[in-house]
Amino acid sequence: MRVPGNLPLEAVGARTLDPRVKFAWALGCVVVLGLLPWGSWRAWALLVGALAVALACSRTSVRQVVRRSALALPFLLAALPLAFQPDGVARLQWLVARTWLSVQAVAWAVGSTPFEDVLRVLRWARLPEAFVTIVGLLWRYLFLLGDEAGRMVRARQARTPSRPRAVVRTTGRMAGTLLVRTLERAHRVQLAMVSRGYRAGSPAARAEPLTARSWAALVAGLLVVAASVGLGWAR
Amino acid sequence: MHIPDGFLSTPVAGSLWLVATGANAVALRQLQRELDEGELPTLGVLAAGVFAAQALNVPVLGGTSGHLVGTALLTALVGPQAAMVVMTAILTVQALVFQDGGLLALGANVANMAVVGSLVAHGALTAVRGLWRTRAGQAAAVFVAGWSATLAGAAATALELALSGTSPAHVVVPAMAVVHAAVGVLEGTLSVAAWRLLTAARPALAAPRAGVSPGILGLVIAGALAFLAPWASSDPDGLERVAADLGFHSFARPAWFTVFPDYRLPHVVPDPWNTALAVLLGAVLAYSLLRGLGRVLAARRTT
Repeated sequence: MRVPGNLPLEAVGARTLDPRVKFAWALGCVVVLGLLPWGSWRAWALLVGALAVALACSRTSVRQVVRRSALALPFLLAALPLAFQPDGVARLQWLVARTWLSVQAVAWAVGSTPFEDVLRVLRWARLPEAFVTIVGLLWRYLFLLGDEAGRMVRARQARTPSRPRAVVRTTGRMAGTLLVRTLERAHRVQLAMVSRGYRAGSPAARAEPLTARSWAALVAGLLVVAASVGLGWAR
Repeated sequence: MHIPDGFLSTPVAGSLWLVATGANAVALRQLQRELDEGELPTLGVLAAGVFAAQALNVPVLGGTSGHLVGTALLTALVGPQAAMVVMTAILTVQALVFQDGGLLALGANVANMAVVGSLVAHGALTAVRGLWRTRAGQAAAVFVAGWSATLAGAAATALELALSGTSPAHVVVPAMAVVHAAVGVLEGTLSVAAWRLLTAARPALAAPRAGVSPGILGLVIAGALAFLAPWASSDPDGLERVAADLGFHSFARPAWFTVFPDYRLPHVVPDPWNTALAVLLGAVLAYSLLRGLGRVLAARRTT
């Protein structure tokens, strides 16, 4: 299983930025884009400029940006009927531009943040510790079980006749087999964790305060977002 | 069916964040009460297993492929609360790492696939198991649960897109419903095949799980139906029609007080959704009143 959109290791500029700042900016960007009136192109251009600076600091290649842009393509089909309404083409253009920028902003935050830091952000956001534990364990065992699923798919392709009914029935049984193995593994993991002192609801480490650099980045990012709100509503 | 950022307006996405957070908070609290200490890791590994099972693609028509989502299967195996929390964890990782679904749209995706999915699947499982108690009946219940959870999630997605102005409701709702009625057959078939194997290997998993109360389930179904109100017939009801035909319509006097006159909330939301919101609030009000009355009567009976 491959993690798409991760930035190369040399992307030090973005990686050393506090993850809370990155997620706050990305979320602010997405929220504002959802609130802006249709066709707020000057506000959109300002946010594109800010994102371009962030991507340049992260040394993200154009290829990666284009590849990420494809993530929202399937859903654009649902919006196509807009084009046949009055002012529909202009609205569709704005929708595509808004979605593309939202996807890029979140991709930048996610792609430059190791998963352990994502978990820290979830804890800092006061999500229940039980939920963060489930998410953390999901991540830890995902690649192990994902590889197992990949091996099962290869085995099915080699052995199962290509009749649709046989493929569907075999795939359902494969999912069942995978979940039986998962439950057995889950029981072993639970016993191992409890025997090493795991207790539900163990207090998490406190979040470190933001550094001066992170504060500066946060204020600058939020100023850009606020300026885009002003540009959007002052049309 | 993962909605990306930009497709939903911020008010719609924000409201669905509240729905998703509230439902998960209740589910997590109930789970923590029911599970033994140290059983949480089991749910984490199970989430990884379901996520991996979603990678088992099946080729379908036109060079596309489909896969198991797993909400109904999980609901049948571990109950609606655990299914909701596990699916929420999966959707969170899909949004935060794989960018399958947006960050602001995560609330909507959780509401559609984890909350609506698990509650509708639980309702379908309870209803069909109650009618047909054999093993074949249980398998049929899993199929119906998989199909209805898929269809309900798709209908909710379509309504949210329509509410956000992304796509006209009269186009997106039927289109999503028709496509996902077919996708639901695949989900149901895969769920039954997996459920048969799992319960043959571990018979204890076939036992029905404790679920949400019928009152809450009814309220959720009423809430979903409320959003169909804008498509209801605008013709008068039988009494009004007879009154108009026989000419005694003018004898009607306005009520001495009004809460939601003509099922409308003045100046709150734009027109098509005004009625839906009024119906939803009416359902919540009726539920609260009856629940309060039930508690009072129960307290009197015990004293």
